Amino acid sequence: MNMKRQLLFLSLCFALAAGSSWASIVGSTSPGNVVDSVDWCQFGCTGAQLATPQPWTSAGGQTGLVGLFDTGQGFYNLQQGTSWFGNFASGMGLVYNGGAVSFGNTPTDISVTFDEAQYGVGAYIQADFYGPFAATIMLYDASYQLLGSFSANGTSDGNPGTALFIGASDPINPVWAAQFDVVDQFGNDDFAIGTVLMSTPEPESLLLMGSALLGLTAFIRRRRSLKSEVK
Amino acid sequence: MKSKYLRNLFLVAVALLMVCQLGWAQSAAIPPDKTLAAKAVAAVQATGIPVPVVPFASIAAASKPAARPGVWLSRSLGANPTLHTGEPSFCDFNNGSQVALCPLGLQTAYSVKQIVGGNGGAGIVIAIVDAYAYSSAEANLAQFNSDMGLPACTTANGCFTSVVMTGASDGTGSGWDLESMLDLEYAHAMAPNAKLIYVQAKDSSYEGLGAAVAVAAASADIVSNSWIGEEITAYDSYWNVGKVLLFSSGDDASWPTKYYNVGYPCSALTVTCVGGTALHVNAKLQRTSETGWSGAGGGCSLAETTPAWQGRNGSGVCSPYRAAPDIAAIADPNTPVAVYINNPEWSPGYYGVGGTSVATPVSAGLVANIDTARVSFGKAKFTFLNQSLYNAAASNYNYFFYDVTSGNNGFAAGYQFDLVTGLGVSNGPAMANRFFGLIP
Repeated sequence: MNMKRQLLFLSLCFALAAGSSWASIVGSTSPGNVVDSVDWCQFGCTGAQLATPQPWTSAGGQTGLVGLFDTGQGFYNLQQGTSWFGNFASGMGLVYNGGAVSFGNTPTDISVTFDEAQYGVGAYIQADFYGPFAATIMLYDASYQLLGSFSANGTSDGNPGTALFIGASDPINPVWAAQFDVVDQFGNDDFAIGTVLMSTPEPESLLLMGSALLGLTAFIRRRRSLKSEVK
Repeated sequence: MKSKYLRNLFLVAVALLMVCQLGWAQSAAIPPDKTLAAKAVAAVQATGIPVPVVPFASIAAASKPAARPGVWLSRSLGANPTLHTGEPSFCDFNNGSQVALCPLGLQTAYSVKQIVGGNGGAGIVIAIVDAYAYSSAEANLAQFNSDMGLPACTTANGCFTSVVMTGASDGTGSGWDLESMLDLEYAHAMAPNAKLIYVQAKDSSYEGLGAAVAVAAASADIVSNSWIGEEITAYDSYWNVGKVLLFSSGDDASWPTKYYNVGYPCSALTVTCVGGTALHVNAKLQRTSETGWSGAGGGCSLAETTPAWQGRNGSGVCSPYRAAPDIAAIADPNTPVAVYINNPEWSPGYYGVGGTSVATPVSAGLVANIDTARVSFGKAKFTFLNQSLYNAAASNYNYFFYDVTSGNNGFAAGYQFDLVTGLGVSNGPAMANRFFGLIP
């Protein structure tokens, strides 16, 4: 009987571990417990086209790269209120994946890589064309293998300060890169992202994890003491 | 002291005369004189001055357009390297002083381990094409791998395949043997998990080598060729094989010869032409600088027209002809790599070797790592590299290339594209980047 219990416990552990590595990322439309941020006005916010990728530095001194998944498209540094009139907070720096010839469709995703592992990553995001759109964030590990993705719906219009935030975190695996994608109602996929935010676990999440660990410790101790009693 | 100085001076003069004579002999198609060459090499070696290894065998085939390997012998290093496996990992041949770069050092200098998903070129096949049969190659490679801490690459474990083309005579002692060992050892050094096919051409004629290239391309993803000859576009179809085809740009600097300004097949439009640099590293074996090598071949083709893929980088340099090389890597005999060889004509052991013959297999190994990364991300392997290289340069030069801005081969190295190093040295980790690499 005891043996069966142990087997059941181990199976549960394996199932949980397997489950977590399969789909461990948690999506969110709120920034969470923000610890650092990347402001794209570090590139000047002049509306100029940029080479892709571009090295960035965060407010906290972290570094990484931002650019287009495919190097063949235009990549621009814009600013809400001067070269972009949409949903971002007034003055926010943006990177935009518009085509090199005209600001139309055919662009590819925007990727952001990090030189340090992250827990959670997200960004304000908006489709170029006004109307409804679906945004997706994909997280990657150190080998650039996909950890998981999360999608959310937003609306593109001219009301500053109402941009969709899309973010995701991985409680198990360190995140080394994030990729953003948008598809609007017409199938266009040109879009901009605003400030990128990096987050750590929420205090509640930490509390939950701590409780779980305490519980596990108590369970193991109990089993050990039962064993020694039987002996 | 004075007499010793005079004697050395005399030796240098004699050696230079002999080397010059050999150089003349090639173009005049005089039968090879091995004794003369051996004396020249020995005399120059005694002075420590780099000396080219002249391929006697190629001269014998002078009735047809012939190619010659681009290997330069710098110095003998002895037979017993000490491998330091700590950090940095390096080998030395002389009581701790490094006189030549070894595989692990070269991997560090070119950031091979930083290629995410590169996995040492696993799943990629690199073919090495050289002239004449050389049966000691596998045994030499085994010794090199054992000394240098590299994975074994043998017929038995499926890593090494030897293909001897019909009618190939023995090339031991021809100069092609050292070339072969250099090519095999440094392709493996840069991509230790890639497989190697060693195709030994019937002879050093374009017909012989071209047939070997076709055989190589049928089985390999990347074909590395460290040999060069007269520019004859009638042979262009030989080099149109639908795979990544690398050729060395030669070691004759930019000096125009009777036959070419830039060597061939390096100038062919289906070829990625690899020039040469001097690679300087710090104590941690990280690159501190890379400069254009004075001997590196480069210049304007006399026959191949400007290709569309050369784009804004390079197309205007030699218009209406092709400018070469396309890329570059370590080649200067004064910053040599250590090559192991053991056969009756060479004292068994290591030799410091340079030439664009080094740059080519090193580049082949780099491309293998990039290919492996691409496959791991679901992308196709490269088939023609040049379009991607020039696209990358146009997109974000500083991310994809290390710009070599000093050095001179008759032309000066400079900002971005130049006739010494082409676009410069490829940044492997950037080109293999899942997000920002050359996709597709």
